[in-house]
Amino acid sequence: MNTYITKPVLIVLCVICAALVGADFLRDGHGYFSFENWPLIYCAIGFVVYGVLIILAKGLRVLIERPENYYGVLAVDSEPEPGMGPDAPEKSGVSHD
Amino acid sequence: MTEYLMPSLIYFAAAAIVPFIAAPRLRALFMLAVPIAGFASFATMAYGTYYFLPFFDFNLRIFRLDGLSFIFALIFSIAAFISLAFAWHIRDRLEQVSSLVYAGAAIGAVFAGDLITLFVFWEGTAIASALLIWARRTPGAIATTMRYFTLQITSGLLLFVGIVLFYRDTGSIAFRHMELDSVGTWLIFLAFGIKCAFPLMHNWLQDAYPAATPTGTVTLSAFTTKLAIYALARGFAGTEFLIYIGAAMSLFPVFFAAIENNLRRVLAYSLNNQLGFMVVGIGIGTPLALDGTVAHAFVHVIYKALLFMSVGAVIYRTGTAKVSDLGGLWKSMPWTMAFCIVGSLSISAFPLFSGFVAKSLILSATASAGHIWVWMALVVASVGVLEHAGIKIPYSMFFGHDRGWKVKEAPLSMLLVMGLAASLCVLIGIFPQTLYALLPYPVDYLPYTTDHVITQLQMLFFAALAFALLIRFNIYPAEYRSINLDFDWVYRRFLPNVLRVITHYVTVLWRAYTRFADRRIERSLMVIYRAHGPQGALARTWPTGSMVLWIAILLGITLGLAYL
Repeated sequence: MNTYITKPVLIVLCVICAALVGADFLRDGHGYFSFENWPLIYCAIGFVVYGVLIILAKGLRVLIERPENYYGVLAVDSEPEPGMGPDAPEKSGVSHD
Repeated sequence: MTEYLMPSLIYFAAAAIVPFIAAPRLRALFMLAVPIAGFASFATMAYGTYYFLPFFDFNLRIFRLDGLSFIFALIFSIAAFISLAFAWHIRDRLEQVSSLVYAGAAIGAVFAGDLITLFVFWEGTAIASALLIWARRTPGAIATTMRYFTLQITSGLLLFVGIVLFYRDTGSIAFRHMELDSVGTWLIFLAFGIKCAFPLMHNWLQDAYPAATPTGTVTLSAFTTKLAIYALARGFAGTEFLIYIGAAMSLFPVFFAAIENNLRRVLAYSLNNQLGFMVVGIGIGTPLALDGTVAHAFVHVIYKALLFMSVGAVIYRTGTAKVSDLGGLWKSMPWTMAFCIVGSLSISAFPLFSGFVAKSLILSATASAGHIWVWMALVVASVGVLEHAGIKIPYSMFFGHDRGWKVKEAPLSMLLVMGLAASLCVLIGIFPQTLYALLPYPVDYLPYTTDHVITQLQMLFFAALAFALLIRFNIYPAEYRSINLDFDWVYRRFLPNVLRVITHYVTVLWRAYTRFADRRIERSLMVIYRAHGPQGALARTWPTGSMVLWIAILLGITLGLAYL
């Protein structure tokens, strides 16, 4: 399971978001469009758009996902990065001196 | 003498010298001096057009310095310095020479005052950049180079034909504002569009950038696409069509980026999305919008290079850029993580970081031009940017699923360059007026208003909350090895398959035809053989008497006819 989005992290995020909800009253309503002045509209945009985006992307993935070697040797998708990684010497990079 | 100090020539001369400098450190140091010398050569010049070159009946204007070309040349000089410094450890002379030629050609193209000069440098960027992908030297990379090169050369070809037609129509080769009212200008527009990665012409970007060397990608990320942005801003500012192209460009990559496993490809989609914002700005074409585009290009080159560098450093140490293989690297590479997060906050337009002060110019220009739907698309795209570049990139490398990597921190040279780029991101974010002062039009805009800061923070933090919840409830897209089809499937799979089917049927038809023809030929040969062969009537040896007899008969007939 994921180790980094722990309860304390969530709580801190929620506290920040709550503070930003509070800060909504400091807005002076200078948007270009009238709906920009609706209360908490940007909170809603951030939250909803993010969620919908991820769900749509997951739907898209079902349609277009293929195995990594789909394009075979004509693509770098399943190739290792040459000369890189833990075993590479400090001064490596692809050297062709 | 001064014409030999033109910035692009400085790069080309350096590229000619570099292979002969044997000591690697000295070579790298020499290369670092090039962007500085290049910038110094035009930094103090007065605006105007210099260096005319007669070419057949034309008078080429090689060097035009004005507000727009100055700032793009400055961006390219910074990008050249950053990418050359990041490649400090590289010993591959091919990569070094092509980086210099590439940067020089891009700067040369920005200064081009006429279309022929533009074309020459345009092709220069195509050739030099292809070598940066080729420099990986694996079969996959070489195949990718060929695809990339084909598309880049197509762009050059369209530009060339466009210029010829444009000259025929107008009698001028000056590179200035154009209208989309003739075949020539449309072709030029399409040529710019390919390099700018317009929707359906965009896949070379996502195909090629993950295939270059980690250092090569940093170089690639700066020049080609921003050169196209410059060319569009110069030639087609205020073209309404661009607004909708830009909106589509900013939107669709965010879905692909969210599910992509290769982080360099995520960044390539992200780059595509960022170009969308700039293209919208060009399409609106008001001074505020164009300033927004230029400012965005400026900050974008720096934070995008920073993000590509952090991913490059991770590839350098771990040998992979795949989400499915990475995670938990904050312990081993804390500095890289810190710099990467600065890049992420910048691209997500977090207040006090560079993206915030640049992107809002474009959004304000869109809103004040009354394009509500485009504005909404850009807002949605902004949340998308936060998703893939703000969260996914740092989270999946440094946090995510801890895969037990124990690697060294990135080399000092890489950390120093990332530090430099990160400080530029923060400095521009805190002192936006320094950036605004460089823009082509005077800017009367205050990014730090209470309203703007609060709404931006609300959007970003609530999106982050959504991310945390999606992770907690296991809805966030799972990480495993896979690729996703995009439009390039059409020319990498579909069209080759169509071609294969056509080839098959053409072969079958051809075989049937040749068999039929063979039989016909054989039969006619047999007829001829029967007549002329050893036993044929016409090949028989007739006695001389019969010939005399026939001549007598013929003469008799002739005589008879004469009496008629």
